Amino acid sequence: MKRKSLLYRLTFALLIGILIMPPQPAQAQWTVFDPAQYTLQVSKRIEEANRWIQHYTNLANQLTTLGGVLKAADDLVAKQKKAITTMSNIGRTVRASLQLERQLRTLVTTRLRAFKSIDDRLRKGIFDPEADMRDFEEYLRDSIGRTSQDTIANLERLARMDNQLERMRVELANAHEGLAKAEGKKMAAEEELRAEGDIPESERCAQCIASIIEKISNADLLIAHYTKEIARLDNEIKERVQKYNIQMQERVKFGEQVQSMNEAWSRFNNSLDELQRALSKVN
Amino acid sequence: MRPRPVLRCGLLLFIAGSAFFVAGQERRREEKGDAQAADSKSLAASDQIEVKEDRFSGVTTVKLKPQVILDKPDHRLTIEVTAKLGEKKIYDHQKDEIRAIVNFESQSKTPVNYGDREFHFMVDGAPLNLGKVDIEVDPYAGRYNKLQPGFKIRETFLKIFDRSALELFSKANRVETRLGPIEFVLDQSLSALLREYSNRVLAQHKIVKERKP
Repeated sequence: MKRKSLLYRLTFALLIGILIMPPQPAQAQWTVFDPAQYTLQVSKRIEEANRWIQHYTNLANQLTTLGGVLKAADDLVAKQKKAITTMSNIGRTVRASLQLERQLRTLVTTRLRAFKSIDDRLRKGIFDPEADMRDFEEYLRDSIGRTSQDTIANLERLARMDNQLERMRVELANAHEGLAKAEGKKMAAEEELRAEGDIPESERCAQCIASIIEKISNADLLIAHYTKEIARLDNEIKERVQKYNIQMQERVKFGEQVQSMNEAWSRFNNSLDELQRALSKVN
Repeated sequence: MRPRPVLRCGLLLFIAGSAFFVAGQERRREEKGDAQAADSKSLAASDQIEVKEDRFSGVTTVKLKPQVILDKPDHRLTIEVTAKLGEKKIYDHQKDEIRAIVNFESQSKTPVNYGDREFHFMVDGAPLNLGKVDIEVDPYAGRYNKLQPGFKIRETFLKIFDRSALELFSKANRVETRLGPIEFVLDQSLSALLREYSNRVLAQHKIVKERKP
């Protein structure tokens, strides 16, 4: 057998190699220019540039016009709201503290003055219930921390302290007693007169009859006197009570003021709490 | 012949038993008598208080008839209370006022020493000072037959019980009183009578007050 040549063998191997090699994709040999695509890309770039120009124009407007500056300031203020609230709370706290300090000072001074005044008079041996009452009223008027209910109790205390009212009541009781006595005497005398009339004429006592008639007459005078006295005292007591009613209304008003002050106190405490919370957040 | 010891013991037992039985019967009779007396007293209490209403004026008079509060052989003291309710009142502060006029009458055989003439009550331990009393001698008591047999001096005085006094008496169980040096405790039935009277006056005042506009 004839031996094949080397060239034959190489040519055969090359053919087999070409047959078993995977196919390769086709490649262009020059750059392709697409005018439509190029136009689209350029317009996009221009649009973007316009947007940037608009943005910077707006920014320039914001910083160069009054409206813009104010808006910017508003934003700034809004951003600092928490800080502002904190400052407001601090301000309120300081103001309320000063107000309370003033009220406490007044309260203590008034109490001391009222008690000192009463004490001075007692030491000097001057018994002046009216002045004591005035001092007591002043003390009540300027005291804080009392409710409306306490005000009514104050009225009762005041009435107990009012010697004049007490005197009127005692006088009224005495007048009623006097009137009852006079009426009793008159009734007894009238009975005696009737009894004297039943006695035979020869045994009648002229002196006794005269005495009885005088008794009746005196009793009538006393009845008239006490009736007038009772009317006067009743009227005075009514006026006095009316005065207390007015005072009571004033006390109620004062009680309301106290209540509003208590509310202010609670608001102040709330502000203080809020302030503390804000400060703790800042820290 | 001497009795036997058994017989003697039996006899003693019989005598002792009889004595106990008789004593028990006596006590029962006494208790029954007391109960009857108390009943009659309570019945009498309602008779002693008189309530009258004047249809024309609308005034109601509540009266406690004269009651003896001190009964000594030589001195007798009586009390009579009258309260007029529903009388015309002008001012508001008058509407709650009650005044019961208390008339006292003293009859004695010899002049009585009234000391400082301060009249006090002590109602269940609570003091009620009525102040000084103005005692008046009745010069014509003998002439107009106002003296009780054997008594020679008649004296009168009065006091007023206000609302607080009546409220005090309305709960009274034990009432003590003193007029100058004369001190005594009111009888239980009399205390009950005063209590009932005070309650009646207070209740009547409430009725009258609600009735009147």
